Parts: sequence; C-alpha cells; structure tokens
Amino acid sequence: MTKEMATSSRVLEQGLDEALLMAVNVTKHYPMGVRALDGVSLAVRRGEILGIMGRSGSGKSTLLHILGCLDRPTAGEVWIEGTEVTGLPEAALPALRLRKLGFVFQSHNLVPSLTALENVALPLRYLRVPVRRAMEKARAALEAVGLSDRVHHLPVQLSGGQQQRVAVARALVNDPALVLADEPTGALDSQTARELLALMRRLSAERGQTFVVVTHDPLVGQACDRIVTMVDGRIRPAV
Amino acid sequence: MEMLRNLYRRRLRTGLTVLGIAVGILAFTVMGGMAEKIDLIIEGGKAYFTHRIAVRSTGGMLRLNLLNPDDIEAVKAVAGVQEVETQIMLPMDETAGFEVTPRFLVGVELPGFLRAQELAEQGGLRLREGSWWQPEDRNVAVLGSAVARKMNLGVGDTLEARGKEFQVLGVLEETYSVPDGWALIPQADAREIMLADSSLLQALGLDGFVTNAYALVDPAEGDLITERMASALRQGFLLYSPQQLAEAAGQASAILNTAILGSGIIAVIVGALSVVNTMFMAVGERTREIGIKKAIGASRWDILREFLLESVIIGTLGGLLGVGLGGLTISGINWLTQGQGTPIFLLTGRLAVAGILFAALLGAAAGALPALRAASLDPVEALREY
Repeated sequence: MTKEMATSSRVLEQGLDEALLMAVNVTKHYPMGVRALDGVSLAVRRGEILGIMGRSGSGKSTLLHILGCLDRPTAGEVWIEGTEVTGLPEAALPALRLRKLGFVFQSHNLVPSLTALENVALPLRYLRVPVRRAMEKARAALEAVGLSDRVHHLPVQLSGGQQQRVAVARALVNDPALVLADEPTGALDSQTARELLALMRRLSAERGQTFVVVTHDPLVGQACDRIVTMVDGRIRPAV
Repeated sequence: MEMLRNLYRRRLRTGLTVLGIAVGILAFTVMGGMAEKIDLIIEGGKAYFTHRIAVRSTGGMLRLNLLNPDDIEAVKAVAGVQEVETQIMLPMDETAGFEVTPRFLVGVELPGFLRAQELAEQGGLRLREGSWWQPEDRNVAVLGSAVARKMNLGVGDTLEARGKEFQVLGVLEETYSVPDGWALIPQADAREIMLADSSLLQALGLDGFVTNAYALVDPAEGDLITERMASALRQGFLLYSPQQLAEAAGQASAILNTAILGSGIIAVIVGALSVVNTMFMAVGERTREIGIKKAIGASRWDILREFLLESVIIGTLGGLLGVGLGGLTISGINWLTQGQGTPIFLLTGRLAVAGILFAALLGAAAGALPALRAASLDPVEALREY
C-alpha cells in the first residue's frame, strides 16, 4: 500500500470525527468520455497543510473545485466536518462556502472596485454581519497578514504579493474550517512566494488553520505537511 | 459604494447610458408638461361648467346663433334654475390668428353676472385685483389673467379693442381655462359692437339679444333640469348639461394624455435599451469577479441585487438629469412664448417625481436580464475568465 493511500485509509478508518475533510471515491466525468477524476479518496486532518501536486490536466483543480463545493462529482462523496456536502441541495452551498470555506486563487483574486479592507470584509457582508463589526474583523485579518498600512488601497495599488496576502486575509476573515488555495504562488516571484508560504505556515501554527493547496511549484510542496500527487485523475501511489 | 465605484470606473460608458435615459426622460417631462397643462385647462373647464347648463341657439337657416329675451325668460322659469348668466361674446381681435388662449370681449350684465359667480362656487370668476363696475358704467373692463399678461395691462390702464377704449378696473384670478382669455365688459358696450359690425342685425333690430346663456343649477340636478329645460323651450336650442360637458372634457383629456405621454414613454424605452447593453457589457467584463464572489459564498440573490442596483442607479441618475433638463426646457419654451399670455407647459411636482420613478423602474427592468445572467453564472466557468 502506498504512503498516501495508507494515510487516507487510516483516517477513513478512524472515522469522520478525526477528519476535517474527506473525499471518498470521487469521480468526475465530462461528456465525450473525459475522466477528470477517477475514484479519488483522501482525508485531511484539522490543522494540516495538504499539498496536491500534479501536471496541468491531472485533475487537481477539478478536485479542489469539488472539495470547495463549487462543482459536483459524478460519483463519490465529500464530507466536511461530518456533513456529507455532495448530498446538499444547490441552494445550500453558498451558505456552506461562506461559513466553512475560504478560497485563494492564483491571481485576480480581488474585486477591483473594492479597497483591501472592503475585499476582506466581503464574506462578512454576505453573512450580513453589521458593517462596523465586519470592518473591525477585516482590519484585524489584514493586520494578521501584515497589511495594516494598506487597508484603503485598491487592488491596482497593491503588488502581486500584497494582493495574495489580502486574498489570504479574506479567506480567513470568517474563521473557516478549511482554506482551499489554487496555485496561490503561481503569479508570484520566488521571494514573494516564500513570504506567502511562510505566512500560511505561521497561520497554521498559530490558529490551527487547515489548508489544502493545489500547486505544481516544488517550493509550495516543501511548505506542506503532506503531499499527494495526481496523475490522470487519480492519486498516484508514492514510489 | 461599490456600485458607484463600478459606475465611476467606466464613467464614459456610464455617462453615455445616463444621457440616453436622460434624453428619454427629457422628452417624457416636456410631453408630460404639456399633458399637465392640458389637464389643468380641462379641470378648470370642468370646474367652470359644474354648476352651469350651457344654452345655445342652433341659429336655424340663417345661422344667427342668438338668444332673444323671451328665450332667456323661458330658461329662468324652469324649476331648479337659480340664475341665468347671459353673454355677448365677440372675438377681441379678428386678425390675431392662432392663440393658445383665444381672446374674447364678453359682455355681461351686472349684478346678475356676479350672483351667478357666487352660485358657481369654485367655478366662479373672482377678482385678483381691482373692482367690478357699477351697473350703469360704460366703457370699462375686467380682464382675464391671460389677456392682462399678453397685453401687459393692469388696473388703471386702457384696453383698446374693436375700435373702442375700455378702462381696466380689475383683473381676474387665473382659472387655467377659457375665461383667462376674456375681457369682461358691460353688455351694452358689447351689443353696440355687435350691431355696429352687422348691417343684418341693424336691419333686424335685434335689441336685447345675447350670444350665450348659462343656467346656474345645483350640479346634482343637472341632468334633470336639462331635461325639463328641453321640454320647456321651443325648438332650435342646444343644451349641454354639466355632466355632458364634464364627460366630454374627461374623454378629450384621456385621449390627449395617452397620445402625449405615450410618445414620451416610447422615448424613455428607447433610452432604456442602452441600459440593457451597458449592463450586459458589465456582466461580461466582470465574469471573473462574479466567480470569486460566488466562490466565497455570495448567493444568486446577492449577485442579482448588486447588478440590479447598478442599473437602478443609472436609471435614477438619468431620471434626475432628464427631469432637470426637462425643467430647463419647459422654462425656456414658456419664457419664449410668454407673449401668448399663458404658459404652454407646466412642470408639476407629481410629473417630476413620476419621471424620476419611471426612470428608476425602467433601469431595474432593463437591468433584470443582465442581472439574472450574472446571478446564474456557474462559478467554475466564471473563475476560468481572466
């Protein structure tokens, strides 16, 4: 048995209480017979940083979308904090994303017409948190990522690295169970990428925050607690 | 705030779209201003005729549409008739051509005429300034507001009309109706002018004849008294009850308003099409942003509301600008045509509010389809856009 499979199986055997996130035999087929995911199972523990690596087209972004309830699998189940989210109706998913998940994408993460502070406060706005409270929390989140001096800047006035840190602050502002990051360093130079990864590690250590990071950047791999590699829609057994 | 910034970021496009709506609302406001004025004239006319049964002679073969003293006595004798107001009505200036409020010299008999004004309640003519003449006075006049304005006359001035001079003793309150174009003069003066102008009337010696008569009645009994009058009078009369006059006025008002406002509304709808275009472009440009918002938990309603609000803001701005420009246009046209004595357009508060609300609603309607498209975007598809 491979290391990854052994880990997943162990977590599965330990039951839902132990795993924050579980994917069980997740399959995604597209018309014309394309199999983006072919029976993927994995489990993520609370406070863990899991890296999902693989080449372009290996299915890692599709997996991330399904784990993040942005897309539905053709078959299989996804469990988040003991709830089977694949069985939830479509209308329940925005609220689930809002309360339990945070997202960081590769680039163009921010709403251009909103300041850094307003971007971070966006999930709280959708949660109908009173404005004053939302702004306080957003300010604290920006402080946590070292951007307290950039709160009123528009995205266009921030560097790429600063924009990604604002995105991380936004992903964390609603205290989600899980942050999903899709190539978060993909548009950054190596120095800025290192700083962002250091930030994620610090947040994981300080807050016990769980991250699932899709990447093909070896630098990101080094920052993760555990790596799974995807090939042709499957998790590749380690050699 | 976000919506305003989004609109400001594309300010040229937003500006042009707002202008599109504004031009439509401008047309709506100006057309509506005309409809409001017509409404006011018709309402004034209705008020004037509420207590009056109009009595006219068909004139028979000779088309001498005159009423003789016996006819007037017969009208007075009909049960329910409280007073009879007689008039000799003559064009003030036969060479004046088209006038918004046509001017007439109207010969009336005091004090009967004044009693009739009291009985007519809100439909009665009242003095704004000056006084009425005494029953034996001659060559005096009380002017309707449009006559005073157009001819620039006030109390103490002299009115020259049909080769005679009249000293102006008073000016009437504005009625927004036909009497604004009247210059009231003693009936004896009017009869003199009528006879002097017609050798036929001189030959016939039609002394004591009048052109119009109005029987003052209780409005609730208008139809009943009209019927009684019809059977009491000899053949050759046309009678119009207050209800008939009000119905005719109401119909004319409805048709005119539909035609005038309809053309304004079409102009606004054309303007609204630019909002549809602008909002579809906005959705296209901001697909990635919509994807991110959906990913972080925005519901369909959240997205729908954001785009709808943006189009409502565009509509409202267009409405405000359109009503503002409409107000300026109306003031300008009224200033240019003030020589007519009566303003042609009237910008009322309800018209201004209707214009702005209409623009906002149309903004919402025009933005509905693009907003629905934005709200129903698949987040995964939307996130692929850069």
